[in-house]
Amino acid sequence: MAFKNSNMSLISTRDRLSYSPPIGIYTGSGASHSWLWFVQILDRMGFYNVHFVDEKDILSNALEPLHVLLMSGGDTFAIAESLGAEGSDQLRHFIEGGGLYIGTCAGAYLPLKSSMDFLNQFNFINVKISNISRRLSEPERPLVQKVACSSYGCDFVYHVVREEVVLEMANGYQANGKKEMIAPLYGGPAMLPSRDIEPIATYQGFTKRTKFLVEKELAQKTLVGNIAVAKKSMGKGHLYIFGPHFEHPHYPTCNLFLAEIIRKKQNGRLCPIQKDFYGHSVKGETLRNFLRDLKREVSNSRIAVSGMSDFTISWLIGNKYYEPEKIQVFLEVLWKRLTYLESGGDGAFDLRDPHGMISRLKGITDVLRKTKKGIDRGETTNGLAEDLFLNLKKVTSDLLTVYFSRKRMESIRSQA
Amino acid sequence: MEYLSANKITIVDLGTSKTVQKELDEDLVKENIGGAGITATLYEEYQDEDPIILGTGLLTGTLAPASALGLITAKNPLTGKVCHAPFTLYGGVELKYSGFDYVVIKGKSQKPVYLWIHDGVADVHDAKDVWGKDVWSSTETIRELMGDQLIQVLAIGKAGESESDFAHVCINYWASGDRWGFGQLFGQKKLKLVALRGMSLLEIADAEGFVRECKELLSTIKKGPFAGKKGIGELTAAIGEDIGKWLEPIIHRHLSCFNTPVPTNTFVFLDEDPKLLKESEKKEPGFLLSDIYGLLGFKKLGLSAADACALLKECAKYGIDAVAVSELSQKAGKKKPDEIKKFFSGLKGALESLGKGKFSPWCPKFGLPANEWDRRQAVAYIFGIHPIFALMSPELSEEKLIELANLGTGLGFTSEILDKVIADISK
Amino acid sequence: MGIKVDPEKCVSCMACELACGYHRDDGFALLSSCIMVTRGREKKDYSAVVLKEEENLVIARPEGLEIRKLGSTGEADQGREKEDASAKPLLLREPCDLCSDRGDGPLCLQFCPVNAISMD
Repeated sequence: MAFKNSNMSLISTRDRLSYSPPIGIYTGSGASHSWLWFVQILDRMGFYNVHFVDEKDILSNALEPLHVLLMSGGDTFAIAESLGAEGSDQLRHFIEGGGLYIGTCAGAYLPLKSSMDFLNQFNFINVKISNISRRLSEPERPLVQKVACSSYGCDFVYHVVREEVVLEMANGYQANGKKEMIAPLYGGPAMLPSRDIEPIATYQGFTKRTKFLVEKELAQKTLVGNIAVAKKSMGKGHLYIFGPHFEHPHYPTCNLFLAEIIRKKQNGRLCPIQKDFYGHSVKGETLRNFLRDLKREVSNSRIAVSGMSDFTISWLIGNKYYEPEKIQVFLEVLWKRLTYLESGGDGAFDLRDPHGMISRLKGITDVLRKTKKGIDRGETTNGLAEDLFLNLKKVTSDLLTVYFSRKRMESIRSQA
Repeated sequence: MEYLSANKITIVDLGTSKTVQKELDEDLVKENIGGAGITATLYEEYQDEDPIILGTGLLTGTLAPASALGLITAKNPLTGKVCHAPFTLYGGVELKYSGFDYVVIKGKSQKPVYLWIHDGVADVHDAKDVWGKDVWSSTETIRELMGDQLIQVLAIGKAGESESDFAHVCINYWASGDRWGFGQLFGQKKLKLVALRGMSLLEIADAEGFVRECKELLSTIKKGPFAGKKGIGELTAAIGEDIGKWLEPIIHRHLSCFNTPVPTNTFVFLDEDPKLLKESEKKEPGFLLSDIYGLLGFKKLGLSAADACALLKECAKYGIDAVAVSELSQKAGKKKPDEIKKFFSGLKGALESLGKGKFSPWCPKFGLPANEWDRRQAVAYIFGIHPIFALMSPELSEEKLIELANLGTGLGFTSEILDKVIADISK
Repeated sequence: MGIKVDPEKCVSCMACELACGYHRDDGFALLSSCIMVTRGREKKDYSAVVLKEEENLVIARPEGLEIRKLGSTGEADQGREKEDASAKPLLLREPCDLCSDRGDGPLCLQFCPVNAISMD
């Protein structure tokens, strides 16, 4: 159940509204859906200066105006491949110039030292992980190989638990004096001690909600005592690497921890919210029609996907399974924010490409309907589903851009 | 209107294909409660434009037992009176969750159109893909077009398109409670169908209180006289017509309307082994019986159960009132299925079974005096309770329904207000 | 311990679906419920009750119970042996928690009018 009463009062309203660093969220190739969790918590916590970047944006200097880059979960190899050497340079330049990189799960693996193709173009942090098969004894290897792992050259990266883990926070990083924090883990790394990093939290143990994928003993051996969260300075900037998903919306203490990092980054310097200008100001009747068209198309898509959502359909794309419910997740994020946009009153919106947005949404609905027809006829629909997921991310980040732009404008008005 | 409501009314002008949205005024609800209380008021407001009003009861789509009712309010083409017809199954709940509490359809379109009502959006679409098709094909076409088999469809068939006096508005593939020839109104407006789908959330004023009350009510109902009863046969038995042996050989399953404790519908297999449990490979193995008097009407002609149900299926496809067909067929001395089917087009005559009141005679009287039946139907149509179940369940008393309404909305309804609304809609 | 559905008793009224939706959303809604009546075969009068558990999909079909690993495509499963341990939860239709934060147990069971739902 969603957290409705999370206490976000640790950050004052004034600070939330006044201090809003430009935050980028990576939504490009390889990103799964957990970047939506960043969206939800930033929204909830009042950080509205949010922008969405894919690999093309990064290669076109989109990191330049940002202060923070959030890289969430997904397929690390796909992220690395799509960014390539040039993307890696952009990222390095961003951090060394003072930027803050926060990587969770796949975003945590990305900058870690590796000899693997594509990943070896990053290597920002010299640290080894404990959850790799070369650290296992011969008898231990087959125990994990059948269960939960992904190939890594001659080795494999393996995962011993899912859901909750208990972390021990290092001195100076304790929230309200508490040494322990509970956080959710879905495939993120456990790091071995290294001089290249400052440990912030280590894996301490498990809870009743921990799902063991291997024998508890092996899980303990792999995780306990190893580093869950680490920090590294690089030039004027920093990287924060999180094994667990601190952005999971059901873990407000973890979310606040992230917010503190973002806030502290600026050392309390106020960062006035800039008014956007995308060159396309829309208001009045045109705006109402635009919002109505948006709502129509998101609704049509929602309905088309609900026609597939009886849990019994899934697609294998690459190495991962995708369900219609995943499409619903994106659409629900959009749907909830449309209501806010509709109630926006008579102010103008600055939009980059309103017609393009509607047209892409229509495209999503068309593909969903075609996919449903194909499923009903017993045809293979993997190809359609693959295209769909790609376009869905783009459409979602487009609409969220409008949403956060609106939120920023409201913030400016409320401060005036 | 904050609770148990989408807080929206849409006004659809078929003449211009434009739709306008209005907030549902809380004062309107305070004075008229819901369902027929409000559709009647809306009808008056727009009466010069010959409207068809779709609505739901205040409690429709909640955990209140039997909260399945959707209704159509319009001028009965046969009597000239403003009447109400129910649609249940999943139609009522879908309208409630579609983002609108009420839909006012006014004017006439020049060319055939359909209404697509979804998530608070009302669109008028060209009906070229469905006009001319029977009800079943129309429902299938819309569901395929929009990509969801859960879309609920109020549709007319050829009877409605040809503006027959006995044109019936069907719900998906099945008969609704329309006994007023509302299909003719749809046809006159060139409105082929209304498609409904939505995924709203209804807020509740005192959520735990409301749910607790619903649970207690349900517990009481489960101990009542209709507990364990199933199917259309139980309903006909309650009005003295035993169809058990006649129907039993083709019964597949009994089904409830949304959240209705007693299944009042029976699915028969005509083309398939009724004992089959897995999914039939036949495209159209049978029919859902939801119309008591339609079924009894064909039985009276001496037809076998299979022939009677097959004819009911044809009536549903054609979009014609089965009661009218059976009564007028009998008058014309037609008793064979093929003869009766040919009789659909051009069906004319005066019906003895035509309802005289405001509420559809689709629902049996179960031996109640007329004024008591009328009052009970009024209560059902206001609060959104299945009209047949409302007569089976004295546990759903007016006091209980008012209590639920207050827990759900916080609006302080009283029995005096209910009395006034009943009086107003019964005028 | 889990929810058990008797498909022979089920009358497809959807009370369980709405009750679960209420448990998830504190309002009346159907989008988040983990138990649902499949209604897409209306003309054939075929429906099942599907329950999403932590790791399994329990499909109570009229002809018998089917239990499927979540994420599997059933008959079309491509011999998938490993779980995707790094898969992030979708947080939409979350698995059945037996209404553990309610003192009176699963709501679907309480609202089923024909006692088709019980605890296993």
